[in-house]
Amino acid sequence: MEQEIILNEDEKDCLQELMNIAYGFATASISEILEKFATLSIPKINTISSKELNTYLNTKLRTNKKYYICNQLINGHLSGENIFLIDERSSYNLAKEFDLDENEIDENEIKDIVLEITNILSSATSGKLASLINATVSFNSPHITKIESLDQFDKRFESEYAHVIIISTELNFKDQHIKGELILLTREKSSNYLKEALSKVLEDL
Amino acid sequence: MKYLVVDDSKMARKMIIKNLSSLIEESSEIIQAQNGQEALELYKEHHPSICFMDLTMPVMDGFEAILKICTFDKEAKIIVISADIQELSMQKAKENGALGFIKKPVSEESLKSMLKTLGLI
Amino acid sequence: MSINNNVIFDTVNNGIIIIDEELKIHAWNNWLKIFTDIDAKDVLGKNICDLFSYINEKKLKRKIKTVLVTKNASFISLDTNDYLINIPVSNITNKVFSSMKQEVTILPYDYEQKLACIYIYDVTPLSEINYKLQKANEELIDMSHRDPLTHIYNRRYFAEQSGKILAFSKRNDLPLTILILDIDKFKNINDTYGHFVGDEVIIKVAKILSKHIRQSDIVARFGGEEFVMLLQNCDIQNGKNVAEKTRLDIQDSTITLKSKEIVDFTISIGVAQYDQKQDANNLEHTVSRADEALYKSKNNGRNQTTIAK
Repeated sequence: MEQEIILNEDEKDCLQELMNIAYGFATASISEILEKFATLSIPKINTISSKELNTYLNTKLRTNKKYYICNQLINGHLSGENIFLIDERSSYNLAKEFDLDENEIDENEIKDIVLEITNILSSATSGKLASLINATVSFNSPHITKIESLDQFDKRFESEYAHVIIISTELNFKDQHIKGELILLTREKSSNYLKEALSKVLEDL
Repeated sequence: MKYLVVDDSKMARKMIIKNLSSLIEESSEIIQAQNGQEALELYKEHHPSICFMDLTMPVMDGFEAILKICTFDKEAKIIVISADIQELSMQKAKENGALGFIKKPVSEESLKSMLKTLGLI
Repeated sequence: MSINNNVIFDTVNNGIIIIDEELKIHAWNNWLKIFTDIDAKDVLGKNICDLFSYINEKKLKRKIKTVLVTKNASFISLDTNDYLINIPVSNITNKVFSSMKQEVTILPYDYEQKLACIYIYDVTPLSEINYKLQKANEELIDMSHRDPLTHIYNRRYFAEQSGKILAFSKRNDLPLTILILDIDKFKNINDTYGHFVGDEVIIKVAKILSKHIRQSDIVARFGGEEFVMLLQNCDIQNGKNVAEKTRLDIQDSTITLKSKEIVDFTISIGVAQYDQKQDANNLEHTVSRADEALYKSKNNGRNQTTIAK
């Protein structure tokens, strides 16, 4: 069982600002790659303990809806795992945003696209965050699962991860409404590294 | 000289002010605003020489604030400092009247370079 | 000591391609020459999609762009793709995949020249193990649901499914009927002909029962010489019809031994339709009532069907 890492108010503010910058970079990356303008909705950033994650997910995952969960492992100073959560309807809209015709869109294509967007969002966000605090990271290939209820979600994260950063995002391309959530899970060692890096930034101010 | 720094994040304002302080005279005054609405009011009250504006803010966002301030004062000098670095966002800000755009995180160099380019230092 | 990149480039055990945003090839290593039989000199400057027409050009271009924009890796995922380049594999021990399964990582190589590096890894052996493991798991789950002798479902499976099926029938207001079937004087058959023949009889009965159900129905071995048939969207009258057809079919069936002797067998049946008042949301109660009806069939001379009230 990992120790919970607690950030004080200033550290939280600092992290929020760094995440804003990191997420701004991620959104701009998507825009540039897809050649579309994405409205950057202000990311709601929550930092919670991994124990609270279960409760949080319970409120997020609506019954009768199917979701894709896509996760990507991160190695290095900020080691941990990023999870992208998107409902079936949104993933379909996302596929259209990737300029696929209706008849090209099947389950495999949708999964491929969710994997791609997860990689872009996850590596751009965490990669940028890392560069802002002089950390080095590398990313593994993401994996995707379709789930229908929270029981199908792997619960081992409670014992493996100390710290959870949740970024609730809404990707809006013109009229397409795509709701997705990026969840950053960090290991104890990385949470410590993060806390130290944040206090260093605060010191310099 | 008066400067106006507009950002809903206290941390962001601190970062900008830290980098700005080393470039300006000690006698300068730096005024802070948390959103576009406050920015407009404080601008009208203090007439700062340069305004540093974030884009994504509650109540009134940067795009609208820039438009309103430039309508109020045609000579307004507004530099955008934002995390939203999409091409179209920068374009829109400039269309509304912003003179320049600095990508976050702001540094002494990027600030200095922008101010020099605009002939403000 | 300085690292000789050329040696590494040509001896490493994976494919390396250096490629630009227009998908033109700038480097092609020895691994690729060995596996595709294509020389570097024949591909440099060419578009990779001209060489391999099945590659999705739009997708690959997008991934190259991704690494140059995000300054991090991009991937061609095994979850949704089998390979980037089709390389046939044949092996006497592994016959699951006919083409090499590949994991592909794309990384930025040069930002100014806008070049990316594609790394291709052969993961066929691992994929084959995964595939076999998955199949073994599926078989294991299926086996736990089945009676080992007859291969029809077992009581455990019936118990697991009955809740779901009952709920469905109630939601859609459809009748549900249970048949309990028992081989007559089975102990005699075992004592007279031996357990081996007894098993043959059980297997044959199971086969015949399976012929009389539809896709939505379940037939399971309850144990010993007892079977259950769960008929969806079937009322007591239709249940009786199915029971009678099945009983007669079994009555007409025989087993011929090596000694040319013919073994006859019959079954007794009890039929009950699910009734909200009597069974109170529990299919086991319906089963009990069918069982009581079966008991009556046995007492009234066997080889007959009795309907529960």
